[in-house]
Amino acid sequence: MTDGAATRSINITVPVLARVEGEGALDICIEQDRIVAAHLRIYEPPRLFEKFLEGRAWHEVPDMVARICGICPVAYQMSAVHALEAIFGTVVAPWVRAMRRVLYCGEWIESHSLHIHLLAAPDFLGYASAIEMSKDYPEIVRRGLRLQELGNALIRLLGGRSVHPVGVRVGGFYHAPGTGEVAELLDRLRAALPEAEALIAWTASLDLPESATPAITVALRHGDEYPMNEGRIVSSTGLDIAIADYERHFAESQEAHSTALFSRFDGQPYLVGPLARLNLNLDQLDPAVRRALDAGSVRFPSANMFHSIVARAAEIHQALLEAIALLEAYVVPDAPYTEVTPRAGVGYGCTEAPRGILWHRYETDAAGRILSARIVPPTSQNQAQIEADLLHTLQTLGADSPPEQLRLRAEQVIRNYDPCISCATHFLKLNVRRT
Amino acid sequence: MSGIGVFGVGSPFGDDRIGWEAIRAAQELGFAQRHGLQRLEACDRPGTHLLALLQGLDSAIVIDAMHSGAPPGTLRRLDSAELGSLHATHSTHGFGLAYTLSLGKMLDALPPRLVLYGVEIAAASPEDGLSDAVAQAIPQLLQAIACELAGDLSTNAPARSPSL
Repeated sequence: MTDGAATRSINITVPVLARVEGEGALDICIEQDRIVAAHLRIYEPPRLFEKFLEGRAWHEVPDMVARICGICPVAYQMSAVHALEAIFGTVVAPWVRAMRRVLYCGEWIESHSLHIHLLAAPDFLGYASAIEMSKDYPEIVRRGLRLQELGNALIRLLGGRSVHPVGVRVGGFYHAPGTGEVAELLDRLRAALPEAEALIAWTASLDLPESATPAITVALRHGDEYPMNEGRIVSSTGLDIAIADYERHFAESQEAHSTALFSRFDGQPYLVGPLARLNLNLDQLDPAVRRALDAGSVRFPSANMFHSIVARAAEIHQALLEAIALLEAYVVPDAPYTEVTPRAGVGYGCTEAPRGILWHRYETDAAGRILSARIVPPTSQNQAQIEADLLHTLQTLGADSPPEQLRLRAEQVIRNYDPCISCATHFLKLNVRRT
Repeated sequence: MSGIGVFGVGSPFGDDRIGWEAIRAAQELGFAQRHGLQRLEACDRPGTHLLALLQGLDSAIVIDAMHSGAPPGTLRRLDSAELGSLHATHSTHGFGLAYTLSLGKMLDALPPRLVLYGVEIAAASPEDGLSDAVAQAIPQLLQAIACELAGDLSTNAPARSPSL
């Protein structure tokens, strides 16, 4: 039975000038004042790309996977090149390793700044969008856009352009930037450090809801650094495995209500992303980031998903500091890449995309042609956890709450995970069924 | 004239390439030199990066794909005064053009003169190229933009293309 009076549908209209957007919808089912189901339905394109990659030459892969996402193309490129280099036995020079880290710093700064200011902050300040928030907080939004542009500038430095970077190749980069370009960008990065520190303080001062949703956290961990391109997969439950062993513990399954696959860790939902990363790698943070975090009232490790916004701000600061240190040591290399000799094999890549671990597996033939590809993006890894969190949080809020309040809290919960439905997140239709 | 930019927003998916293809055609026709453009660029789902691209320009034209129910290939022009109407229709969670321009307007970060050209599209799936109906709209679109540039983007002198 559906209570017509209590059923509410909220339709988000298609913009007049539309981007190709993913679409999401949330269905909440309430029985006897208990929330019995909360389903997030999303569409996610990487599945199609896996098929497109079959039969392609190895050198085409970095440019192709960059097209999966307009917000995190670097992550897709990094997981792909590491997997292919593992197959071909390519050992890259320290310069390449360092510049890949710089490139990834750019993506974290860009993606996290966008999320904090344009998606999450309006929630916590009571605005429908960043546009309305800009009326009262123009300088905050401008600071966010400046940081985002700085991230874009880092990506352009090595990727050639900020959206769809094309500078990455298996073995390294097509082009090494000149010292003048690097020096100019270094000045801008240094000038932004106070803004990044202030951003941590600002996010920690927001009126963030109290919440403690049980979650198994999963992230990369590296002995010498905050994880980005390399490391082992670890969890809050004691897992510590090589990336090649991912499939032994993590399995995807199809759920009837979503076209995206759901990933589970030994049958359980799990969390990837900034909060998981920070919780599992606190000891690898730069001391300056630790100090900035300690100055606020939010403590890590934290089980409150609403603290993800603070974790993102901390990672912006971390990425700025790392990019500065790496670029201060910059020299133009003899060659920006190592020559690659393709061969047949199977290889794995797992890197920390802004939203969490992004796992790739490729099989190639002797000429380096792609025989099969598997891509597991962070959003599909978080999907089961998002639904578990929704159930828990909405039940805590109270199933008898007005639909509008349920919708707002549900959106906030989902936004904590920053789901990346390809080039855009475009949601939310809400269907509440009460019986 | 100086400080004018023309941008084509798009993605690699089917008809959504229209912004890119229009810029490519404009480049082949020498628009940058002929009209003294400071920038003539294709952008891939730029989101709020578009505000950085527009920064410092006196005038700008932005081309994007449009979904409004009109036949594919239909052109629509929106000038600065009409941009406000986009506000009500944006998604509160997307980073589409309408959202970005509304944000730019609120932050006083848009060029004094800004015109949008929307091209109605049909399909935007990864395996498709540009459909014939949309490809055939490019000459008319460029003619309208050339006309616009010749009039220095005056909002009092909209393009004279009959379908606009």
